[in-house]
Amino acid sequence: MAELELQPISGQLFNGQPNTGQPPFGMSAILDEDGPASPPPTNPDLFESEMNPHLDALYRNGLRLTGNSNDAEDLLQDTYLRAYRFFYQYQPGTNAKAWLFRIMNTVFLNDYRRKSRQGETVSYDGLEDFFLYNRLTEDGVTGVGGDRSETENPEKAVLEKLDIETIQRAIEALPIEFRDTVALATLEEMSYQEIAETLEIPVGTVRSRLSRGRKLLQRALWEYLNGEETRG
Amino acid sequence: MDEPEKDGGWEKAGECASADFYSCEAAIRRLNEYLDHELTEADRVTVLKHLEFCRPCMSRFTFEQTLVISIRQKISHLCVPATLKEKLHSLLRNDKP
Ligand SMILES: [Zn+2]
Repeated sequence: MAELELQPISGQLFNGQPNTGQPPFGMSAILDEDGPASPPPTNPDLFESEMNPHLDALYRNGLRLTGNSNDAEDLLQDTYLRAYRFFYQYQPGTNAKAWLFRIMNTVFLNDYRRKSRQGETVSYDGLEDFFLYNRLTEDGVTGVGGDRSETENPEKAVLEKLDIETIQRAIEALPIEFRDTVALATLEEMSYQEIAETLEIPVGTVRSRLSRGRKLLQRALWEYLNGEETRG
Repeated sequence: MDEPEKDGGWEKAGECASADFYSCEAAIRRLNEYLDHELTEADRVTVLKHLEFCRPCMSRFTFEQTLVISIRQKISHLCVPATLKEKLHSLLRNDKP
């Protein structure tokens, strides 16, 4: 259970509050089935106004973790109710989104881990900057963007063919350590600092995972797009 | 927040600008942070300055930016089902710790 404890990452986290070396709130308590013994009452309206703006992003995180909508809904409900019971531990003005995501990740690891998918085994061969762009602008390339007129506007060619399902599949195919970082930055528009806080990793790690992860994502998108094509 | 300097601090008499913007490599190294609005103002100006006269990079960066924005927009349509939202709303009111 020790690895689920929240570790402060740097003195600058948690909105400039001094880093005392103590977790500002314990994630392990979140896992207690019965909730806190006698929690202070939480105003549901206040809770909703703080947390509901992040609900869709949280749901999408659940979808990425579980890989199906039934489990994602269960996980979201579970996360939401635990956040409600432990709301008194939440420090107003700190990052509500990061707090919710951390609870979800903790609950998932504890209760759903057996269902966790590790992503595919990937090779890093031939990973380059601008993977998609290069494919789309190559001369004589077949598949998406192979048409000469399309190569003059490569983004148009590929974006018309990208749908939610393709994007989700490509994200889910990423190795797990890249999946979260790429999804949070690319899909949920979190800052690097928020991602570091959410995943409890250093900002430098966010940068390096993003650098490699986005290339992997582009390759996966390319493969899915061309797979769709050949299947007709 | 301080107001960013006019022209990002470029072309001010008596100051030497970094020659970093001549290099594609220097711009490309900053691609992700450019896309994610994580660059310092000085670095952002370096990238923009490069894109101004390097058409290949301009084309690549535009592609990457359009890709990220488009992916984000498409995924944002994936929302919590309304029935679950209603359920959560009433669960809070009935929650017995
Ligand atoms: Zn260039």
